[in-house]
Amino acid sequence: MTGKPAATNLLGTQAIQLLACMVLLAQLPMMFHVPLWLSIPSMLIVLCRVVKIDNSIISNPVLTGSLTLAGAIAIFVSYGHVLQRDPCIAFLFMLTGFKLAETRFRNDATLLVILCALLLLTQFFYWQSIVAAVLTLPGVVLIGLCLFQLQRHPMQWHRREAVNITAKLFLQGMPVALILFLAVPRLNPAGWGDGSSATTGLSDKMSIGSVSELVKSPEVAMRVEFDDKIPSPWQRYWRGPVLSGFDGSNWFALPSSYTRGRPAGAIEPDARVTDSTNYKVTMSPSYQRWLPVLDTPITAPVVLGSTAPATLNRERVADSAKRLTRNTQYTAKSGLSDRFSANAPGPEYLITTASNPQTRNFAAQLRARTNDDEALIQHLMQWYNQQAYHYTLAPQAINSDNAIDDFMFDTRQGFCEHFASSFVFILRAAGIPARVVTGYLGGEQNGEYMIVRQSDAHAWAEAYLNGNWVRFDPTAAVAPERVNQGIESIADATSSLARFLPKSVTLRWDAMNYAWQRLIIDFDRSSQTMLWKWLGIEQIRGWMIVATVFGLILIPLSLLNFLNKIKRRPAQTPVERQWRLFCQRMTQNGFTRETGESAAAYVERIGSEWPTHRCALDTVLNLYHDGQFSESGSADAASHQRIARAMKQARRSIRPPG
Amino acid sequence: MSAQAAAYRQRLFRTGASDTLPITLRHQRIYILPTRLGLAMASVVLLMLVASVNYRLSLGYALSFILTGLFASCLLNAYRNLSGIELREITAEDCFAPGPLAFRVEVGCQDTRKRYSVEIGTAHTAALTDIEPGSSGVATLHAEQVERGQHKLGRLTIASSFPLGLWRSWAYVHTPVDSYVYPTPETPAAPFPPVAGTSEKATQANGLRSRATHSGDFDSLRNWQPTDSPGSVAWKAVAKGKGWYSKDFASATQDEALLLRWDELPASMPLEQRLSRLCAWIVQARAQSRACRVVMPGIESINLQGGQMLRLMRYLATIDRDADDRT
Repeated sequence: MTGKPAATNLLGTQAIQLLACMVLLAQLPMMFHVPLWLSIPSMLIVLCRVVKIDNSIISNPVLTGSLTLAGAIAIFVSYGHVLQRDPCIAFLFMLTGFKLAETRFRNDATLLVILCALLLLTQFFYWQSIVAAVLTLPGVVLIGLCLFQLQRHPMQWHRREAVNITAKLFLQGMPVALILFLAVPRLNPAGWGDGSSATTGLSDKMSIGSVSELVKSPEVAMRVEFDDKIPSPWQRYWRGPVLSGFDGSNWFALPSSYTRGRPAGAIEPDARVTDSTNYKVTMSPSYQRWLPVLDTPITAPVVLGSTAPATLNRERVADSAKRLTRNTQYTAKSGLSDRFSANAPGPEYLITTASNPQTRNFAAQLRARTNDDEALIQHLMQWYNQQAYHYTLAPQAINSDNAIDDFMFDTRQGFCEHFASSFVFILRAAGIPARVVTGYLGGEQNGEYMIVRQSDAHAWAEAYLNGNWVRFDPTAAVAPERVNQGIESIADATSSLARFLPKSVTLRWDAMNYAWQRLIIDFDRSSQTMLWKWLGIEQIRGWMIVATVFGLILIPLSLLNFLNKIKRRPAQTPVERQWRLFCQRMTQNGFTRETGESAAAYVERIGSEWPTHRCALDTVLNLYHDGQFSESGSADAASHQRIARAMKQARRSIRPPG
Repeated sequence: MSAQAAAYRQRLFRTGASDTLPITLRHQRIYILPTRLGLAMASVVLLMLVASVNYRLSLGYALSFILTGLFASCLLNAYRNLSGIELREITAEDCFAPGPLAFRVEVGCQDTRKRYSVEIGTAHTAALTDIEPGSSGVATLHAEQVERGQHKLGRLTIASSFPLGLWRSWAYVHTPVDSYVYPTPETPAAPFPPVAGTSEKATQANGLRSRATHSGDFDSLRNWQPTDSPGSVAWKAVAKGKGWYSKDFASATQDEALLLRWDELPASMPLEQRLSRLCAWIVQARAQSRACRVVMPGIESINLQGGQMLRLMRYLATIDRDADDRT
């Protein structure tokens, strides 16, 4: 209300230190999401102020200005653009550090608090794990503490008091936050926000080496809950993109297979499918359209909470209608067989290239031996098994036009993609329609669900035999343990961190992550609908939310007010009541009791005016004193009542003279 | 209708000085609005919410809602910090210009909650204080550089931005409290005007007749005060059991009584300067315990004791500034 001199707005060392702690804690979760050349200097500046190093050089406005400009240019150069999310966040990160360096006054500090609140949010663009949430909490509390400290500014403040009050504020706010979190309708905004072009997991293109890259990643590709039957390890083939096109070195999905063949669910039930299973998949964002399903899918999966139906194309690749930019849940049904019937495939499944003459020769030899396709495939599988092929994640590099030749007859060591691509090449050269199928092989049961990791990525082959597409996995012929025991049986495949931790710890941690993912991160409109259904509300309306929120605020408030009122009006004893009535009556007769006048003096004053009532007045006074001060008066209710009655009589007997 | 409007105005803004102390602040009086910081934070939270909606960040929602919850609990606590504060007494002490003038506001609270950073102030001055539970404290409102005259305290604003400065709660209390600012005593003080009794003007009608004085003789007895010297105690009266009295030598031991007449001050002097000189004389006379009589148009003071002195000084304080031609 009054213009305070600038000096009172100058912050003390303690305040600056607290602000520095806040900035540091707000920057901490973002540290690895901005380039290290930016985060480390920026945080060092802040750290200087935490440990009270006088950095008056850094806080020189000219220097700070030019440093900020330099930082902005560096960000521009490093990101290549300015007005996009990531460089803006990096700039915010840097700005917060520099702002702290020059903070002297209260106004700077309030701006700093606002910047920190924004900074705390930005990390969620990059990760939303439990760790992120845990790292955010201290920052949020520090924001509260800094606000408290700024509010108290000219006054002394004690750390314990400040912490207590701030903690109380947060706890009081929690119910409101919780209700808002559950009740505020989640919108499904159109489009923007899905901007990231990142790709994880399999893609619709396979070159030699692309799958083995994936195998190094322990990231969770998906989690699966089976309704009834959990498939055996050798049945856990998760069908991903089918790669039918071949250009000599790369396998790729044919454009025709990506156009949706049949509408959803129109694949006719296979009579021979007797063994089937239903399951629910929670898939991490892949930024692709396809949904991994257990081989072989019978119906198109149903994506939960999505209006656009997913489809199965004629290569039995499950295709969701849009790219999966966030966690996706879908249910699906699959038959646990290695074959499914289909119409005779077109010539595109026989295409090979003119390269790899040795392999083509080898195919011709095989074909010469037998006319039976099935027997030919058996021979080929035996070949893989009996020749000195070696399964390794680190094969010798092959850089030639005849990569398959080199692999088959020279290096003889490779990974699933080598085996699958050479296998399909040979079958095609021998005139059998074949294609490469990529996906995942494996899955680890953790309590009620199965974890499939990126490291389970795999490639196998399918050949068309007698009206069926049949699955063949040449890798299994070379390294059967890969199929039966998972990728971990192959040395150095697991992540370095996981190797140091006991298996049970990592599994429990994953279970926690899964629950976190399902309950918090994936909480959206469909979860809200389920919540309302569970509460017995069919259709939630806006006024219900408003009423709930206000009800939850107003009811405790009015209760509090009511309690206060009761407390304010202390219980009145009968004697006190009689005395009050007596005083009222005397006031009406012109004897107002002065403030600070004792009861005795008051009665004396009245008595001197009305000598005729002196006796009755004294009785009232004595009874009042008896009731008020005698020990029995406060303890014994009956005698208290008696005194009150006597007082009433005496009071009634007093009438104004005349 | 206008009477009703005035009543509402009074109720909302307490424009008239009609409150009587003690006053306990309750919801009828307390206003709460967001501060600038509060508005800024609110817009940041809104921005965070928009980002969370667009990128579907569940934790972004959570963070925004935690901050929203913080806003809500701050609102409640902003109310609770003022509610129950009791204004017990407001006193003002007169002073000489240019001040400082001090209004003392006695505040307290009877419940068990401490009140933090309560700002008590008027349009010109403010004091910041904490109020401990169950006790009372005094907030002193100082006004520097005040001019001679009668100063009203005006409307008091009891405000606080506790706990986090996001909301500002305030209440108005308007009680009729006045303070008088006396003229600045002239420095150095001019010598007293010649005393009538010792000069040739002894025959002057308004002069005080000097009295023959004898050591040990006294004018009257007055009630004994602990500060009186033992020599002035009326021991005879004490011995007779009549109580404790002191002998009053005031007029006896001092110089002749002074007569200060407004009319005798040079009319060419500006009004304020004349007032300053008179004020300096009065102050000096009182400091020297000299008998003094002040004659002014509209007031005549025969001594400088208690009520007389106060009345005189307040009269000096309130003399109309434009009445320079007063003779």
